[in-house]
Amino acid sequence: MIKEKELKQSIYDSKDIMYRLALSILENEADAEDVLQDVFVKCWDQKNNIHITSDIRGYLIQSTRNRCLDMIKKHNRKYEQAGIDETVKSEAFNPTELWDQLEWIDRFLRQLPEINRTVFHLREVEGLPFKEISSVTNTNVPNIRTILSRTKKHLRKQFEILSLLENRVNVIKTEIK
Amino acid sequence: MNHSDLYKKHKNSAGNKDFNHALKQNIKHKQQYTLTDQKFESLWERAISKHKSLKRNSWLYAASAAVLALLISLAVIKTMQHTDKQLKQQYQQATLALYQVSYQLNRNINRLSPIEEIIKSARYIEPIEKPIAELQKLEPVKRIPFKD
Repeated sequence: MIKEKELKQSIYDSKDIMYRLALSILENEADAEDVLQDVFVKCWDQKNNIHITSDIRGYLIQSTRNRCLDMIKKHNRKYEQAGIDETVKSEAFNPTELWDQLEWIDRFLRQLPEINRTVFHLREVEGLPFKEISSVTNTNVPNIRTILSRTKKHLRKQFEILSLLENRVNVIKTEIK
Repeated sequence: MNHSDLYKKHKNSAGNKDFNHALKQNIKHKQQYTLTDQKFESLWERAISKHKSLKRNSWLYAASAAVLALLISLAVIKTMQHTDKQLKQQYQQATLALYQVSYQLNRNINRLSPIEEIIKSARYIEPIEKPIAELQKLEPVKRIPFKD
């Protein structure tokens, strides 16, 4: 059994991780806040069944992820999956965007399935150990390592293509001048 | 060139350095997103009040479901009783009709031929000669006895 103050403190300690995870999956601040509120309601409802252990953070992260997935399923959302090729082909393509590498990395991440993004986020942004990520995502540690490696490989590959395009744009610009 | 040298060369290549730098910046940028204490408090308070209203609503739903179930049960019982009454009435009417037929048969049995032979062959004929007025007063018969 858990006391209300302890529950609130535990949630408070993990609030940023939960918020960032919801944000990385849903890519929308309002939705991320809704998810967190739902998780809080669930925790409050289950407060008599929750035991304070070191794993409560894992429980909160897992609840957040599950709620995010429920929300995606409920609204049948299709997140933007625009890679370089699609953006370049589109009329809205602006070469100056190529310089914004941070934005591009997010775009490359969006091309990947949710599990890849979650694993990447939990490992690289939050720095969680593989074991904890494994329990949150219900995937074994070797698989987590593989997913992470593939994600980085994908990002690197896309980044190389971006660099090539960047060079090409520079050449065209020079020729025009 | 061994594996380690290849790794170092790859790691230090210009494109890879850019990538690592961009990735680090991206991660650092994401780590800056936080949920402010004020926002957390408001979400927490909203969650608690939402939980209370959900609980109250769940009681309401449970009570409504119970009342609905009770009403349905009552309706079913009433319908069944009604059907039973109708069946009883039908049975009484049928019994009455049967008695009338028997009465008419007994009255005009002499006109039938060859009645003597029928009487002889029949082991037993039930003598039913009750007036129709009396028939009206009869109690409903639950079972019509069939006799050889």
